[in-house]
Amino acid sequence: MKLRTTVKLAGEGMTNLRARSGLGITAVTIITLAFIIVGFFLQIYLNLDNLSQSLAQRLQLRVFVAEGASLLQLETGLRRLPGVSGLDIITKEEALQSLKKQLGERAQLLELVGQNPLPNTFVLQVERAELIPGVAAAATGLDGVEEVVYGRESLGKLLNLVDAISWLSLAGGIVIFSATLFIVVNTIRLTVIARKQEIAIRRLVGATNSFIRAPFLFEGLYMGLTAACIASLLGDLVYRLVMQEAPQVLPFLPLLPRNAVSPLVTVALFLMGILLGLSGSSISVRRYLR
Amino acid sequence: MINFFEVSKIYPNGTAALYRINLTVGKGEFLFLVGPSGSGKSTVLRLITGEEKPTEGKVLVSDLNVGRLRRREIPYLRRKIGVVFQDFRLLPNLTVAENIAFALEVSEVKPKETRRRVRQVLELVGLSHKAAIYPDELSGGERQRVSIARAIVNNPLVLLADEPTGNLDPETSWEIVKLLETINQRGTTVIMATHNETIVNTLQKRVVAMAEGRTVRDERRGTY
Ligand SMILES: Nc1ncnc2c1ncn2[C@@H]1O[C@H](COP(=O)(O)OP(=O)(O)OP(=O)(O)O)[C@@H](O)[C@H]1O
Ligand SMILES: [Mg+2]
Repeated sequence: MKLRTTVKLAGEGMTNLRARSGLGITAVTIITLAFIIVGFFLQIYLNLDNLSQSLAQRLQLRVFVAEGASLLQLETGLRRLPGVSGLDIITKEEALQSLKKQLGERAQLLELVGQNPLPNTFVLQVERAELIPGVAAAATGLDGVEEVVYGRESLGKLLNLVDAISWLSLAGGIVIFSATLFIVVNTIRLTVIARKQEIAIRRLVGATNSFIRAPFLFEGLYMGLTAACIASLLGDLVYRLVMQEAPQVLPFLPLLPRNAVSPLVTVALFLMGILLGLSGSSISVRRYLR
Repeated sequence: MINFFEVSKIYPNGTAALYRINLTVGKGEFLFLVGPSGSGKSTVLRLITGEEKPTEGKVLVSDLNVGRLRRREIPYLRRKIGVVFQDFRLLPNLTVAENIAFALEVSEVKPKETRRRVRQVLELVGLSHKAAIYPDELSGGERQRVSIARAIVNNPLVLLADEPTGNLDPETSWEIVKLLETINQRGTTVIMATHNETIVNTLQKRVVAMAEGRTVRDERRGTY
């Protein structure tokens, strides 16, 4: 399709929307509200995910090395495990030193033990929280590993929470998408019905399906994009306010900076708007295409 | 140009509309399709435009096997065929010129070329002075002229007219048929389905008569 035709059909989509502007505005308002909710949940989700990751980073995965095992060989083995992003070694001497420091005056007690009882220890950093249990299991299987420890219980709870919220968001997203799709389909269906005659004549004189469909696709696109635009602007505004107030109200809550949230939310909402507009209008005209 | 080979058509609801039709229409011919109501005239026209597919047999339009065309090929067939109906089918919110230009839009003709062709066909149908008027300000005969102009503005190979004079008084009907004759003389094949005896008898063109889905008569200079 030539640019000139596309522009013309895009204009026709605008005319269609304006022709029943009351209905159009109502529909776009409802979709915008739905998008605002989606955006809000995305903001929460992104922050929760961040929170769980930063908590997970504080969970140390410690690998205690068996007496007499080769540190070099084990280090290579641990570094190769998928998900491991960093590794520190605490030698038994270092461990002893720090223990002595902790004990302070009572450090003499250690001399009763004689030989250094502490093992060499590797401290692993893992890319993402949900990878920790897998890394731990794999590390346990390596030669020369005595024991692997990490905050098994608390990590499990955290991961379950994030998981539950992801699923909930997904379900909510599907419900909201279906509801808005229903609105778009029905709004555009009314235009399609009002333009039945045009459609019939276009088909008669040899219009392709895409030509017939185009004005309605544009109409749907305008609806989806308007909603996405307003919702992301509003979402960003609210997030900015929250960021301003949060340090006073919730000083310990580590919120993501605005530029780590708003662009993602905006992109997601625009994608959803485009998908919504195109699929909704396609469904509306489908019956009139052959 | 147009060939029907043993074409039968049974509509999805079970109505048998055509039974083993054979018909050949050459380039530049003028043909009347006559017969009682329900004899299958409109069905023949709808098979030519690809609006319906033959249940059996083969329909060829300028070497295209219409029944076998894929859905997305049909539009390109349509651009070679002009169609005119009894009820004009003009868009009330567009002017005469815009209604005609509407048919060129779908084949993405350039604006300048569109204006030129619209002017040309308006002249041919004698409505140059009404280009900027809306259809509801026109008489029935004038509306049919506009719909004919729209049908031929793409320079189609064939013009199909399904009872184009059905809503018109005898005098206006004559004007329309004369216009179709003029278009035919310029090289376009014309097929006109009609109930109008006087016109068919006077014009002495080829007549194909149908009854109950069959062609029962095909005469070179026929009567109703
Ligand atoms: N879309 C359709 N679905 C089912 N049956 C149809 C359809 N169109 C036509 N028919 C039937 O097919 C037969 C032929 O109809 P057609 O319209 O071709 O006749 P016609 O000769 O054009 O009649 P008329 O002179 O009244 O216009 C009729 O019995 C009609 O009822
Ligand atoms: Mg008919």
